[in-house]
Amino acid sequence: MPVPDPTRPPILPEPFADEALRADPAGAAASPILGVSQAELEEIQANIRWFSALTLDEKLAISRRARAWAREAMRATRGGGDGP
Amino acid sequence: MDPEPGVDLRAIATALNAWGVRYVVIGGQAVLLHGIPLHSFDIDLWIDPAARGPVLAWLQDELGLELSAGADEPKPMVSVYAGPERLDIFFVNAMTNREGVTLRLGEVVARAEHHPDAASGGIPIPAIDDLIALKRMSAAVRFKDEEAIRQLEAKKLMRAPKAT
Repeated sequence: MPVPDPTRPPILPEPFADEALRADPAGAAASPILGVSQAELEEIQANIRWFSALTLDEKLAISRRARAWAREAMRATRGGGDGP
Repeated sequence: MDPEPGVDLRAIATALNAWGVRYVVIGGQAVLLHGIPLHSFDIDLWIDPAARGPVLAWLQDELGLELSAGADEPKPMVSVYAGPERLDIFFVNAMTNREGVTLRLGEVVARAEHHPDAASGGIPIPAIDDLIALKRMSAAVRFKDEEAIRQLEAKKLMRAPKAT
């Protein structure tokens, strides 16, 4: 039996994925944003609600950690900056 | 209090607000301050070119930041380094994106929103539509900008009145 890779998101086996779609057919419908499904839009908006509720200090601290992580990743791949 | 080295956005905002300098945070940091959990490698500010000299001198002399070579030349953008972090400052009155949309600093500042912050008096970020236009500034379409635009559009929809 294959060992699950903890670095990857779980993938629902086909029958479960089909069932999820049947249970929530609107989730696959298009949203007002081009190329974004209604389900994706709701997920993006849930993330925005969560992140917006953080204080400025919390947002800046997360951002700083993300930048430090990105710099490490850039060093590893020998890339450059990303502009505005 | 943050002991890590880096760009202290709050200290910069506090000073610029106190001096009444026209500026906005742009780029990924502005997207983040709109409540969108996307991150970028550096911090970008758009500052009134009339304040260029005093602002750069203050960053160098008071905050101890290192200016990029040629900062004293009339280039529109200056990079400033704080330890491992980079702050890119655009000293221009207007920017035109690849779709031909021109944004003027005065108008962007007038429409700006402010992330609440008692210490600095608030951090100005472009209104969502202005930030979307700014995200189309690079000559080529970039995935990270398109993703930021998608999420900014999603945030706009959250503010739109619900249809009855």
